[in-house]
Amino acid sequence: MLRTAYQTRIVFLGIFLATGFILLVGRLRVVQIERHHELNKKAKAKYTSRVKSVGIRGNIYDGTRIPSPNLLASSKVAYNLLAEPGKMGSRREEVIQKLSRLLAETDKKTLERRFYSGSQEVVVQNNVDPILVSRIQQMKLPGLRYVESSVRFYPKDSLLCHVLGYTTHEGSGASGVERVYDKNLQPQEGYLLYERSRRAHKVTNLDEQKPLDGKDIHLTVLEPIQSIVEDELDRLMKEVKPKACYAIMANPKTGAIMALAQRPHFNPNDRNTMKPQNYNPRFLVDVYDPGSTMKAISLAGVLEHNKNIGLGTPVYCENGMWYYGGRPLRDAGHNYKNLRFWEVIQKSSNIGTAKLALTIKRRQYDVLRKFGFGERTGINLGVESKGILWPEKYWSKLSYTRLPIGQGISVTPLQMVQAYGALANKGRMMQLHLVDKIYDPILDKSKYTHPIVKNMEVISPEAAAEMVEALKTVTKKGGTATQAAVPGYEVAGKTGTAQKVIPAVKDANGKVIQKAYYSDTVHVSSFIGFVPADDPEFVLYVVCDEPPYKFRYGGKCAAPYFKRISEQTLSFLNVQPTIKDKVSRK
Amino acid sequence: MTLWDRIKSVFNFILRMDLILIFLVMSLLSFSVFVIYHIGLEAGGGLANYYIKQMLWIGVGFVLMVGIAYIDYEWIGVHSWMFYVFGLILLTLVLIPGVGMEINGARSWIKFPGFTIQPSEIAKPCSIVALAWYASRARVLLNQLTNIIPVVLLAAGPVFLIGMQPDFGSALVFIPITATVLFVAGCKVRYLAYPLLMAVILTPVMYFILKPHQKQRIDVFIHPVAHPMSVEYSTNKATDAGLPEDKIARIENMSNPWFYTKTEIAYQKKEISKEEYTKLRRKYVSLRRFIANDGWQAYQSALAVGSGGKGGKGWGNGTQIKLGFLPRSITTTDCIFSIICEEGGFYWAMVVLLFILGVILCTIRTACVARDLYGKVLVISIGMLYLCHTYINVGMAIGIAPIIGIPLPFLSYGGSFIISTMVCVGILQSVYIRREVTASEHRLKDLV
Repeated sequence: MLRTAYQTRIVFLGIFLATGFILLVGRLRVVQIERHHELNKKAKAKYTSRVKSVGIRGNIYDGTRIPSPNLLASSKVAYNLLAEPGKMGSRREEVIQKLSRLLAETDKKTLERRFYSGSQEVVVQNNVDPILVSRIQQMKLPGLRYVESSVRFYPKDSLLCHVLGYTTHEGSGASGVERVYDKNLQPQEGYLLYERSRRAHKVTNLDEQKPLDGKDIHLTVLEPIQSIVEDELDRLMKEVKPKACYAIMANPKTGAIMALAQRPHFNPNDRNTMKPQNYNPRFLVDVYDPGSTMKAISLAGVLEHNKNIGLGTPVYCENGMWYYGGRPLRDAGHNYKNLRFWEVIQKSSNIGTAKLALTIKRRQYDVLRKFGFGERTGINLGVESKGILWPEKYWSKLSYTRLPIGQGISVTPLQMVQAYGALANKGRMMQLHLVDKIYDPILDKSKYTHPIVKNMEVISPEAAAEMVEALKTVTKKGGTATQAAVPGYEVAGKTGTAQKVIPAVKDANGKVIQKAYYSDTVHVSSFIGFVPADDPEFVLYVVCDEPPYKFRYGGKCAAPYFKRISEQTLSFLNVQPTIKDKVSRK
Repeated sequence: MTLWDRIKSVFNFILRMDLILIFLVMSLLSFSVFVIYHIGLEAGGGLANYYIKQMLWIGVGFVLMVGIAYIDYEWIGVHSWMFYVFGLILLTLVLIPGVGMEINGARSWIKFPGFTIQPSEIAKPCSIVALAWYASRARVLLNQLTNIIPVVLLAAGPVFLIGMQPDFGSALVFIPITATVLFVAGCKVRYLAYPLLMAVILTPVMYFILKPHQKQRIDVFIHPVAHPMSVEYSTNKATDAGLPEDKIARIENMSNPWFYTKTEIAYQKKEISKEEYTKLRRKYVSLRRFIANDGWQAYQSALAVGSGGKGGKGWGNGTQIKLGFLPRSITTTDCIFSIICEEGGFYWAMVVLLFILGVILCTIRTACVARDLYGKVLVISIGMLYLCHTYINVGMAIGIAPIIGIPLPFLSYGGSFIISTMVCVGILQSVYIRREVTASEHRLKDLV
């Protein structure tokens, strides 16, 4: 006999079985079908990895074509040294000691602070030299990790530093060419998408985009000439001891910058030398009253617009003191009587220039604008000042006599070089440019910067030629800059000795205590010229900011260095001498 | 007896077997070889040969099944004490340090040259036979408590020994089996209901005797990976309470979103002091840490199941084993259902579940036609064994059961397990062959 109603019990078990299965299937449906997308996404995130890979930032070369361009800026391999203090165990102190001894930039205290911060991974030092890394690797210290990175490297140290600029620690450009052409230099990021195992090993590649290297920039600057210029500026700084000085050399026929140097300077490889007074590109942002160098420009305008005036036209120079507009104008310690046009240039007579310029009173503003003052040169090297040139409606009676001699107008050195370039190039003004070509290593193609004519005829070629003739006399006997004469070559140039404007002093309420005035002791002395005068190879502008009082004249301070730079540059460029030595010495 | 008669009797024997059960079982076993073959292809290494070993064990198991089917289960019942003692001896042997092999802190295997056996699996059919035999004796009236105690003690022997290994997962399976034996054999319902009630009450107490890694398993089960609904609920509550944005953003990164939100809100409303808050904050476990430490297997197996979707990734294309996210050692045993779900998708998982359901329904059918109570109890408890294994294994894969290492019947790899399962099938067949002949079968006989 069977005990109790076992059938009911089996049915009960059957119900238990069915409920269980329905539960299982229901839950399976939820997990597998309803949550499929969510879980699939999570699983994918787990088993795929995306690794970025970075190409190499483009190099910067100079304009030398033969034998090959000189490397000015490049990227070299370095390593970021990371540490996982947790993996070091009892050797942590030893690691700190050994690393702090090896790494110059990291001291023991910083390392201790980082190692005991409780972070899983800390940075020991970024951009460590590979040689140093191999030395650290040989010591077999625990818990260290090396990540490849690149560091910007300037093989010529401080050469052309203001033009090249420097990069941030992340490798993007911070100033100069590095910043302006950052998009070209910057490599394109690549990536690798792969299936990874649990231990983060690569299994199969799913998708790959190779990194593209950055483009190379070839500058128009020639490294040998740049070296000459920089050497001479160093000498200038040593001998004259001005506050600052800069020299700009450009090819007037193409507008290509051949050299561009500034002192004080910095070394982009050494962050300690980077102080604002060192790295500010003064040739771009500094404006100053140019002084006498402006005379050639304004008088060229006179030659252009007043057909009655020629090189021989005499001007009465009022015995060195002339009242006009209620203010006296002096001839800086000279008492000239009658001067011819070219003598006004040669002797740099303020009164003569002012009087001549008054003959084209209404055209003066046009002339200055045409020569590119009051607007940016467009050299494309970052922030650039456009100088100060007030529109004519703000001019006073006095302005017509002061602007031609370079007072009351502020310019940047680049504007000056551009204007003299126009004079040298027979009245045709070229666009100043720094970049010769941009080379794309992926397509193996170069994009050239062709010379652009900025203004076809600033002044007529005849007027320009006449002006050049006048400028030639400056370096000859009786001129203001006999020291700038280069043996064997005709030099057309002009000195500039400008009084600096001392800014107005205001009290806390904004009330002017002392008006702005032209200082008698602080000057900007300069010399600008081009060699050979009739078929110029270059325009060179040497500027001394705040030289000592005894060196205040441009002919004394800047001219000798102009000569020295020109001499060496001409011999480097293999330029045929235009006159025989004996004649030039006379 | 002529040769013809012999052939006829063998033919009769085969015909009287439960052919549906044989079909289901053989399909599942071949499917198991198929799956293990693909796992071997993906994972490589030692796993590559597992399918050959599995086929070997299936062969051995099949021979054992036929052999046991030939023996009258009455004979097995009479000699059940021998099997029971044999099981106990094996379970005791495995505890001896020199004999038993320790893997992952559990001494569950005995190593023989060439193969290892898992005594806890072999002890299961041995104990079931003994339990069913004893419980169904006519003199044992189960409506008396005094008669139940020996049954419970019988079950307690192997449970205790398996618990000593410790392998609580396998030990746990004995509890529903014993309960089923008692239930089907006619024990009073209250004798089963009271212990169940007691177990519910005692569970928290038991929690403290568990080993840390076992506690973790339970924790993982109680706090499964943050459920989207919990995150949503917590976010709503946090927004209502005006928690700052960054704190709300962190909710979905917590393994227990509600605990985090509750604490933060309480601190916001200044219901708890700062010291209490700092103490509670230390208990925050981020999802990331949780998954990396305690919830790894549960999370990865949920990802495997979920990423499979309806159609699956295709056999041999699963990423979770190939890339090593599921621990290698358990891919062919505990995790096999996750892999079926991932590679075969929902439909194949359903086919597997239905086949197993079919096997269990076959046991119920056998129970219905068994000739005596002993046969019924025996067969039902075997069905219960399959059922428990299936529930727990599938539950582990889809996150509704704690991870306690229970293999899936007929599919998981393992010599002892396959043999134990096949022996149980043999017992089922033995009971079915010697069934009570029904009226329709009589008529059929007359016709023949």
